[in-house]
Amino acid sequence: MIIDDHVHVHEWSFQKGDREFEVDYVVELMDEWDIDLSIIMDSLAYIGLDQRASNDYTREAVAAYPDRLLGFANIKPPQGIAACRDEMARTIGDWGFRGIKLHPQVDRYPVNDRALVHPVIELAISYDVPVWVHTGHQPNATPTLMGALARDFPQAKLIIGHMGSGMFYDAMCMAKRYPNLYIDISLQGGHAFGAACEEVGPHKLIYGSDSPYANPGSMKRIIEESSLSERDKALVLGENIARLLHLVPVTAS
Amino acid sequence: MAAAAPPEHVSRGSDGALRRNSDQAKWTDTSVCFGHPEYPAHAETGPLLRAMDAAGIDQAWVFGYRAVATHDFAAANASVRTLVAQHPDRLVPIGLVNPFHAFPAVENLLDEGFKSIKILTGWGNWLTIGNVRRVVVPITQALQRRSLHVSIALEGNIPVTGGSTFLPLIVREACPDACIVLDHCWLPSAWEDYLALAEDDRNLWFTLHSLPQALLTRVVRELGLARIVLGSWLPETDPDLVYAQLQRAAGIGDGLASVLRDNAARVLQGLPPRHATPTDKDTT
Repeated sequence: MIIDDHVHVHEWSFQKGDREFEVDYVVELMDEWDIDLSIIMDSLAYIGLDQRASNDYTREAVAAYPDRLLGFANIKPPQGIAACRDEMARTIGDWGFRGIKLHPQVDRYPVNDRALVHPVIELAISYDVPVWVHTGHQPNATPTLMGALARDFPQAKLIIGHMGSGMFYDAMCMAKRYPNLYIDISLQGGHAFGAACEEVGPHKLIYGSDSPYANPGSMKRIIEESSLSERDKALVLGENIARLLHLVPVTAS
Repeated sequence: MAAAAPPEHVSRGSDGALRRNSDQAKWTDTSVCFGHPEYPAHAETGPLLRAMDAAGIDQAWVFGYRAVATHDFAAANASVRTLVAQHPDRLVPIGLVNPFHAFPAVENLLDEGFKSIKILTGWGNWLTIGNVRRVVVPITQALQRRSLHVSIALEGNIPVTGGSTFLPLIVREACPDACIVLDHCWLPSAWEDYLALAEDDRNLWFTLHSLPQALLTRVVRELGLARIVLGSWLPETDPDLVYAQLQRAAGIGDGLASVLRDNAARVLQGLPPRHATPTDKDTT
């Protein structure tokens, strides 16, 4: 099963009339690139829409394609733990969303912030869902700070989004160091992917595209054309995230 | 418009130069550029020593920064060797090498009395994670064998490709007992990462430099003075003002100078910070 762990939908596009972010188009892209399942999140939460409205739209999109899409909830720790607790109860508890996404850069908090983030991670642990974190910007959204979070919460399932972007080596060092830290490889290139396979191992790498910002085929092709074994490609392309989401039985990796 | 008043601990002499008020507060500057290509007026011995005197610097660790413009590391090191021979009581030689052709240059420099090698992470030296293992780790091991420290010059004003912490992490992984100094930590946005790194590696030394005052104060509070040395990268910045900023952050007046001297002396011996973990090789 091919799973794309990072896809966006919007109720309206950044450019009016552009259907790039409509859910129908997202699924067309999935068909074009033979992707079975995508994890989606609405990203308008990051340009002003509140987390509830944003997650409402994700729910609508999932409802339109329940066999193809899984929802992750946008959670904004600066809105306070009460609001986050309510939103996680609504999205994960009531609707069946399978994880949460944090964007520490846009929402402006260090991702290892004890007061803001630690209570949210505790909630994620209690729901047994992964936490997908945008990384690639200092000072708040970095792989090194994700390492501190993984150290403090060894039970949490944490995903370093975009492999740290320009901080890809830091992401590798952290994922290698902490067993509960995984790497989403969206928006990376061949060098970073190859180095991560060597340093961290394919059992901790997760295919993601950041579609429709990026074409889902570009990263998928890098994996498919890599020198990894077919077994390892399958891990990266779907089985690793499936294991975190309990979509497949847990097996030793 | 009237000129801004100098900080309390300095005064302006009749020649207009700033001079420290207290003779007691002599400190060690662990990063001083010699032959800086962008500051030709400071590329001579006279201006360097005058700047040291004006800032209260008793001892400066000097490296041949001209190499970043020429990649002629041998000539840059030779200029440092000559300089230090003239003022061995004031100057400590630090070597620079092309990391991809580091040997036998490293051993030769150490044989000649150079006290460390500074790794420049930019300037055309793309230190991939593999290259760190291939080139920085062996240099660190060579230094460690002689009880010397390795100095890793990080961000400068731009991020290092690949991140802020992987380089010391990889070196530490390979050399658990090495004396590692992170230098050139200039990028304020990288300090969240450095502080997280510092929390995990209690034996890391940090070279501080000018930072936004609030951030510097937080850094000093979280690191503790025992892990800090000061490096101005003279002539890129005025060392006296860097010192004043750190003094304000530390809040201990002229006592800071002796702390910096003591810390620098430990680094020169390849020792960890005093307050580090019980597994330290030195528990004094």
